[in-house]
Amino acid sequence: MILQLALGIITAIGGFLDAGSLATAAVAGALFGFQLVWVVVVATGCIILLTEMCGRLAAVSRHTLTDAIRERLGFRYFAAPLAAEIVVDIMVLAAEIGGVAMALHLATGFDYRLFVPAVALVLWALLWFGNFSVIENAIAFLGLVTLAFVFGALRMHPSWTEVAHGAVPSLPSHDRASYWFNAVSIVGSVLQPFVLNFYASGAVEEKWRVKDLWLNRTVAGLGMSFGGAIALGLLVLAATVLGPRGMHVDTYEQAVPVLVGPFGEWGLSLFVAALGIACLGAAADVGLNFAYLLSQGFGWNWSENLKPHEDARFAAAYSAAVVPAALLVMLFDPLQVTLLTMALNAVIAPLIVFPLLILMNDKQYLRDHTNGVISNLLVSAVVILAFAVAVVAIPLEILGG
Amino acid sequence: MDEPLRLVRNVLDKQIYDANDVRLGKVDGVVLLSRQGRPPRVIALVSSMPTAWRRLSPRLGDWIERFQRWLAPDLRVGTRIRFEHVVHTGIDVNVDIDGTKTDAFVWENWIRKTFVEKMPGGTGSGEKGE
Repeated sequence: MILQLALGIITAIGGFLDAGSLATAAVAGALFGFQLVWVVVVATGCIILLTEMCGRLAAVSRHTLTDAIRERLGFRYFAAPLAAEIVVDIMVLAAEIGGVAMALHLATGFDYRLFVPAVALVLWALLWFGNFSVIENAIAFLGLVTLAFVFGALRMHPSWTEVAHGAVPSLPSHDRASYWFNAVSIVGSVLQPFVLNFYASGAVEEKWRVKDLWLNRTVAGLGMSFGGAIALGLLVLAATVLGPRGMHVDTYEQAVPVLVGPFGEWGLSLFVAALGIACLGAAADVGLNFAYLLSQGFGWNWSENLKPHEDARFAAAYSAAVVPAALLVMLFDPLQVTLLTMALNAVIAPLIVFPLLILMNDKQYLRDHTNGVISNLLVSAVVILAFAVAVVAIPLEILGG
Repeated sequence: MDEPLRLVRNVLDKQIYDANDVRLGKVDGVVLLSRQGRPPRVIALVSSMPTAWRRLSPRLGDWIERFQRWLAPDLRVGTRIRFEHVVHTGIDVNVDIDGTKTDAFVWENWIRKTFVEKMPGGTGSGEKGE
């Protein structure tokens, strides 16, 4: 059971603990204290709901979300999320490679660009030689270092009453555009479309069946809650360490004090390890998802457990994604790429979330495990939220970013 | 009693599996034979990237086909499977032939030879860790 949780944790690392989530939670906490806690709570609830559905679809039908979108809605619809995800996956991959390179920059002081080729090569080797279980378990285990954000928050003894007040939605008292921009960024950094198909593909790789539906519920719930707790820990740390000193986060360096506050001289090492491992894990998630997307979209043979010789197009796809992503992050600042990518994630999310409403009610795929009334109401609310966020993301990026 | 074939719902865009349960591609198109005074008859499934993109825009499909011919002029751009080989339709389409005896893997083999086999660890077969 603990090993099975690894799929949830590695998916959560992709969703919550990547460069985007670390950046958005730190910025939100520094600027608005605990006021945006409710956004993390809502986004966590949404991603638990959506990943549980994607896992259920995979366990019952043995089809992933990408498979089902193409098959049920046809190529003419599928072409839109396909094109959008190809672009956004490469940008997310660039942000994650940049995050690992920035961690190495923080550790050594050398320009992050020096590390980008080596990080890209290590990532490629991890995908080329590692099987799904090795990647999943190793990153889930190493990813536990990110619990430093939770323990750090506990050590800072924040006012838990104020944190609880933050869990209730509230209107901003100042900087309205910035407040909503940060709220949208948090939602965009958690509801990343690639996370949903990655989780469903992982369920197929793990050969989940109907008997594993309880496992899917547990893994989606606990794994995503793990991610939500880390994001919350970081936000609380930023609010207690950075906010009172008037410190803002415009670069990764400026986020380091969140762990120096509670852990002293160990803080930098912990921050470097957490940023590096979280971003490497997310890079593996999104690199694999790029290959899953193309392979499932066009019906090629695919599995991360097969040697590259057995599924050459799948292996070539993730190999091909690493190169433009590395070049992109050599040319542009990683944090800027990350923030733009979070907004784009929000824009394309409805294309991927909306089909779930149709698929999860299709008895041909789900048999007796279709959505009930409450699940349909909840996923409809998430679709509406995703559409609303998509509409305001770019204007807010301009006004409040 | 014979059931009507739901071509769009149960055939088009579905995953094709061969007799050994190997993925051959998606059903990107179907070939119909028009018959005078009688309903058209489905004669083949097509799995081909240009065919899929042509459904969105004929020009886009032509570009993809030109690109494929530029990459490997000698390779066929798609696979046709005669409809009598279809044994099941639904959320997947199953056929009773061996996929390796079709053109379904020409691009897989081309990428294997031109890229994968030239990389370290690119020649082994089976599962990783075996």
